[in-house]
Amino acid sequence: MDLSAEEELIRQAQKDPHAFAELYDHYYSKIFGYVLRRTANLEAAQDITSETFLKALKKLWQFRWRSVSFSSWLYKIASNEINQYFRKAEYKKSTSLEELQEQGFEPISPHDPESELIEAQEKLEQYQEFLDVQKKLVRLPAKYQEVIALRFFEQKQIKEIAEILGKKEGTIKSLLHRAVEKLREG
Amino acid sequence: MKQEELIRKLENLKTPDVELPGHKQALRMALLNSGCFREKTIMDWARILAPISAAVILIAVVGFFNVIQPQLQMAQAKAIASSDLQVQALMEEHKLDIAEVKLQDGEALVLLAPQFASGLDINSQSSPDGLRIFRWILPLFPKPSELTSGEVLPTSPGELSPGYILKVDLLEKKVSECGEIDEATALKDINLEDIDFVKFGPTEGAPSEGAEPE
Repeated sequence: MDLSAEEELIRQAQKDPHAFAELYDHYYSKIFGYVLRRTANLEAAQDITSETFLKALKKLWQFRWRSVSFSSWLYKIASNEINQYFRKAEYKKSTSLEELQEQGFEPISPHDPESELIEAQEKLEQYQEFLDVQKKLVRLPAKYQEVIALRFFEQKQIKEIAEILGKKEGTIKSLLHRAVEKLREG
Repeated sequence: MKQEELIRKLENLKTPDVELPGHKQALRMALLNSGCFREKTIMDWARILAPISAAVILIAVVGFFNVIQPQLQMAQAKAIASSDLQVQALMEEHKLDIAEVKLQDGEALVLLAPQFASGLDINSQSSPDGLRIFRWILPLFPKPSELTSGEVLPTSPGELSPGYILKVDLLEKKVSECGEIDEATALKDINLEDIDFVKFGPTEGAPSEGAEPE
């Protein structure tokens, strides 16, 4: 998406649900994929993705196109949620899809959630080499997990990782170096 | 495994690209039907109105302290001076009017000037004759400093004074001091240190609401 078009879309999305839907459609897969690759847990990925977009929607009016792009802003929210998930034994959601459903909202979907989840789980298990790396990665502190995942799983450039994590590029480089070292030792 | 090998392995790692279309659709609908868009409209209004309200309050506060409050205090000083019996007597005997009121150092200065000059701008260079008259008649009047305690400012009916300055205590709501000026001029041109002020205060036999010089 063109940057100026996205900027205009974000401005509209603060009031117009259709504009927000356009942003959601553009970024859902990226955010869900990132969360899933960080957690390797489909249920957690659903919860965290829901929470990320709900927070983005609630805070969209605060978003200013200054130092970070919208994409980085979303990744930042997702990263915070993932870190919270790893910090707590049981991930507590402030508001999620389930809570919205409890409030009376019933999404109509042609997809069967159960069979969809089983199918996705089977697909995920085919990536055994990835799952081995991920298993070692989650034992590392969150700051190392973040840089490895963003650099190697999400193929982000150092500049973008710095933007997402709110750190200097030099800091990211040294963090990445140490993270790879820790992963190798682990 | 060496670090370079691990980096190469990570770079070539096949990562899962799994999707849950049902979750995507359900979340999409949940978000769009949530109350967030209504809440955001309120937040938008709050965001617009907050700085405007702050500016209005600031203008009101600044306006009150810089314009309204001084005007009120000046009107109050004028009222205090006008209601003082001693001042009333002074004004009547010398045919004086309140010509100017000024706030200075927490008190009010009230200039009493001859009635016929009250309609004139005493700062104006276009009325030199009036100013010349004030200067000429100046030596005819006794100074308040020459008065003994409790004495009423002596004046002769029909005589004209160049004027007096009253110090009005706004807290105690009374005329505290009175000083005679040497020439009719505006308050801003008067050096208060050159004026011998006499204290105003209640004297024996004087009306309780009035004030007389010591």
